[in-house]
Amino acid sequence: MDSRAEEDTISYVIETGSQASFNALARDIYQAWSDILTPGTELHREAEAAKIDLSAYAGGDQRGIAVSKSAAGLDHSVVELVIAFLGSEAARAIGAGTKVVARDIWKTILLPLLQRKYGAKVLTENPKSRSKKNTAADSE
Amino acid sequence: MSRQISWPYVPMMTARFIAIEAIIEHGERIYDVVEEGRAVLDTYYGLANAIKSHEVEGQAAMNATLGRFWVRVEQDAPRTEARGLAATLHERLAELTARDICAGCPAASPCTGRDSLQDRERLALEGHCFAAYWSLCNLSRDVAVQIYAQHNGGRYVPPVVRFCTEQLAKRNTVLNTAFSASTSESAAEGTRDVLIAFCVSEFDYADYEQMLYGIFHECFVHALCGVRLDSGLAYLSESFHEGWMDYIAFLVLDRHLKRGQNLPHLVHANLDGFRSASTKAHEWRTDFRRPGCSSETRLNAFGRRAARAFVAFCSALCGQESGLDLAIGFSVMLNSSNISDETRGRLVSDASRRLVGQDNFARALMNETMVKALRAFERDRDPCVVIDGLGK
Repeated sequence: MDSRAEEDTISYVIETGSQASFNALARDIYQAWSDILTPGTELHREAEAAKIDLSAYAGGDQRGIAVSKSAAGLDHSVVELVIAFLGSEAARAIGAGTKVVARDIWKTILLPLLQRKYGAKVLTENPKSRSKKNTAADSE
Repeated sequence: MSRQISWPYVPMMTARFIAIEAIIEHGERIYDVVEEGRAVLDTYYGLANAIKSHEVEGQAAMNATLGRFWVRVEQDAPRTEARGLAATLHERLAELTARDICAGCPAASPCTGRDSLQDRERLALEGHCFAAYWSLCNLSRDVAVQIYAQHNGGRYVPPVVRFCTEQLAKRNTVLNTAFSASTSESAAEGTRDVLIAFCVSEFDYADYEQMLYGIFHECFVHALCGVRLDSGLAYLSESFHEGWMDYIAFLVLDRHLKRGQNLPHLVHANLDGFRSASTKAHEWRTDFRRPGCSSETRLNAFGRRAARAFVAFCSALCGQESGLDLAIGFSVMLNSSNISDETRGRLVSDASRRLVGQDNFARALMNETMVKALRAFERDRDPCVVIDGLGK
């Protein structure tokens, strides 16, 4: 079975006409994720100030989220940016709620970061695209 | 079953396909027929946008709906008022609209307009009402698969490509067309879904001409791609797929059209129109000088520039036609392989660094490693040697 089926995902429509492309957004998200896990960076401090528990990712370079496209195509007007919350190896090993932290980081740090850079409407959530109810996944 | 546009839009879109057929059949005289037939077309399209499903006992819903629609067109734009090419157009529209469209349908029974699931299933079987669309789909898939099979050898097994349709709420400002095109992983194993979404109320013959390029891009670049389209690393290969492969797709399609063989009758009737529409669409998505163009456009242009330099490099070493064949062969073998997104993206950067610009290009032609790599590919058909050669 495709492991994707067990992931939590949220899809966003990328604002057309903005300077944000799938490529640029994915690079920004992965770079910012890496910064968040790096002590001493502005984003790491921001995560600590927001009381996000980064211990599940401590000492590792694993990504707790993956950025993909709903489709490939001629233009991005019909292609959605999909954020998949993967959790962490450490949390998975102890059977903890694996995706809570990743989602917190996305909602609290990463999404606002993109909105500051590209504009408040850069990403519009597609409510139909949620692959799982957050509550159900988090309580696992 | 593949996803298909819902019934209320099907007769509207069929009416548009009928007009497009009547226009495009005029080939080089399209301009004249559109100019002289403007009043008829304005009335026709205006009423087409207001089509509502209609039922007559003993008649298929599509035929009954289009029959009533045509009565209204004749009321508002009578045949007696049309002259010259407008009269010819009027007669052709009447003839095409009066056809028993559902009689030629592969589905066992005609659509009813009342069972959305079954109606969509009928359309997915290449319903005859969308024949103009399916003909471009089949042409695109067949040409793309043929090229991939030619370069990958007899054991090549392409993914299954399904064509889907949908309604698009408003005109696509990114492509400047009344349609959008995308490809996604299907729930069915080894299958890719190519989706064309129509802005039904605005779709016209110029969009139809550009749609061939759009569908071909989806088939050639994405549907036959060897790595997952929804990978978390897909962003690393955007310049390769949307720039490099798009340029190769454009060249392949143009060459096929230029040869003029095995084409659907509408494409055959208007070869120059389809070739210029394809050029226009390709140029549009790589025109980074256009004010306000998106960052995708710049990335597309970056990939295309690298591919052009690579084609020129192959042509300089092997001659124009053989060089083009070699560049196409390399590109499709790479695209259909499982070579990673990261390597694909790096190839574009390496080719830009090594081949773009007069001085770089001249140095590359004298570079033994790169020339040897290309010769080795020519002999062994292993794309990795070219990737390594460009990366050194």
